[in-house]
Amino acid sequence: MLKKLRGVFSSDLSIDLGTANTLIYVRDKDVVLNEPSVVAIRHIGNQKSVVAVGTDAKRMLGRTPGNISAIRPMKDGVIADFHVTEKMLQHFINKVHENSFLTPSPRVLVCVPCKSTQVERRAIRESAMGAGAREVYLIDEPMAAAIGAGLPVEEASGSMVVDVGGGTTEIAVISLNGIVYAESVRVGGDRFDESIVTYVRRNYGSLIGDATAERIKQEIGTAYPSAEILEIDVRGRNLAEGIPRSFTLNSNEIMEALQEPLSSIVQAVKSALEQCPPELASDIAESGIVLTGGGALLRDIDRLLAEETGLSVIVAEDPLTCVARGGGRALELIDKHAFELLAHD
Amino acid sequence: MTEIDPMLGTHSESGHQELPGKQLKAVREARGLSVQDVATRLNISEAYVSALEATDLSKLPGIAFVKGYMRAYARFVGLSGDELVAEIDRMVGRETIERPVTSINKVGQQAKLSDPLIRISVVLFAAALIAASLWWWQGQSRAPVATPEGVEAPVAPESDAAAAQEAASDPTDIQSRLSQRETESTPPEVSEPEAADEADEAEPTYLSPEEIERLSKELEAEGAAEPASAETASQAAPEAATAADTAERAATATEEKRLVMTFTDECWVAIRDQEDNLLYASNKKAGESLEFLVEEPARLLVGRVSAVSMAELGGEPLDLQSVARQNVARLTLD
Repeated sequence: MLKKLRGVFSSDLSIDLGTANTLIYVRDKDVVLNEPSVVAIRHIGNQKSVVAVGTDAKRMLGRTPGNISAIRPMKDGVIADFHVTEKMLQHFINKVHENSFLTPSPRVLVCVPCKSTQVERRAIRESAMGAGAREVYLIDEPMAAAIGAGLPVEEASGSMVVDVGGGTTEIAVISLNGIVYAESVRVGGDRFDESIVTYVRRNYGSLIGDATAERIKQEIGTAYPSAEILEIDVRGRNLAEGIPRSFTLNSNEIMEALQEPLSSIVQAVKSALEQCPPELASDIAESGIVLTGGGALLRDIDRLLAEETGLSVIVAEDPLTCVARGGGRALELIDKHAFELLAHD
Repeated sequence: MTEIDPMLGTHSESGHQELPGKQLKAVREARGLSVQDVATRLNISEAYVSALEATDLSKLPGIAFVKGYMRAYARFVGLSGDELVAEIDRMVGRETIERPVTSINKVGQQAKLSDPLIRISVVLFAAALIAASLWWWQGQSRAPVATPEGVEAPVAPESDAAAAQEAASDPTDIQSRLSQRETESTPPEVSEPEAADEADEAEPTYLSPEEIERLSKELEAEGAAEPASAETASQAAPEAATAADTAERAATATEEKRLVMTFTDECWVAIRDQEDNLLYASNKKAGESLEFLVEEPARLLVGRVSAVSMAELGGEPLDLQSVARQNVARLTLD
């Protein structure tokens, strides 16, 4: 009864506060918001005001005049700019409660990187509180990802989940609702973009922006050599001439560019397998590794990991929303005393 | 598996009625690949590959893995993984597919206060509440004003009746107008002695008993021909009927009627003539009595009917109770 009364005013939310994208899952519904974690801020003297949040702000990224700055308040999976994160969360929570009569005050479950420090967790909790949350629960990202991917986390058998996010890659071995082993490397989609920018500058003597690099990655990026070669035309500023130039990149070049961040991920997975207790390692060898997160959409990344580890690697259904959906599932279980799923400060 | 086949039969858009595993097996055999080739490529055991081809979910680790293997297998042999996974979803009841179907607009419904219907009804309720309280407040402030109107009401028909009897329109008009004026000038709390005192002070034409005596004598001397003003007299003069009436009234008026009242408690009594001139006014105490000579039609006001133990006019009892409104009686004596 009391629960119903509380539910009247706002919906419980599960938030995947990612470096690249923020996703919000509404309890008993589905993922209702998927927007880039970008905030555009206008400076008037000492006054700061939010101009745009999400998709609109991302379009401004790298294209702003002097008095506007487009900021990505999350870096490496944790908060880099506390106040801007708070504003962004506030905006998103209000957006989810678009027709609300009162200021929403939901219970919020936020996913945090498993290797984040106490200070970083506290910052996320505080900013969610500042954004109007009534209660804040934290959950380890790989745990949420595993639940979202539909892995049997509550069973006494090991499952390995690799969540390649925007800022970090989380690797975890999960059994009996708990994390047996977890590893977090600060390599993700952003590092892929940076690598592409670096590669293009070094080999073509041209400078491209992050947005262009991201487009290249999404359209022709691949992690494993394949017979099919894809090409893309891009424009960048030629460093020697100072004039914008057009040139063509192919998928093999991008694969080469991505080698360094990809090998970090492969190394982390391998070390996780090394550290894994033997019983769980055998379970993982039998069923395989599950890939989630936006990075799992990189072409043939499962193939690369399968070749490197000799294990079966599968990509979860709808990998982008796995964490948010898993968090939402955990939120539904909170009332059923499934507190062991939650992370602690 | 037998109970699954009819479900798949309903989905015939792609034409093939086979289980997803059978399609994979057919393509694999067409390409000349062995189960071991697939197992090596997918890094899963041959038993799993066989289970996949038989679409035997019980031998496979979990639905998430089945879909993953299915996609990888399909990609290896060059099929569309999505179609096969969709069929697996149909087989297991597509619990994972149904979730995204829930639309975003339900979010607004969950936050129930945000419902436009509720918002409108809340606004309407608030407006109704405000209107009701305003109405009540106005009613409160208007209530005392309404009292004399109620008291005045029985006076008017009485004067009408008098008019009908006398068949003279003009004096009656004046009479009703005067009675109206009187009610307007009468303070609302007539029954209250304090208020009566106030009225006393406010009344410029207050007459002492001596003056009343003098006036009544003058009036006696002048005769009864002047019940109305000079204006009414000039109006009445040309008309024979009115003249006759005036004569008749004069006859009745000359018969002096004695008004006798005794009081058991404090009571305000006032007598006015037709022109609203105060003939008599006094605040009678308990045990006191009143005797007044009514020489012409006059209007009597008794502020507290319950305090009157006896009232007689010309020897006949005067029924104050029947004309009293809120313990205040107004009646015309003639």
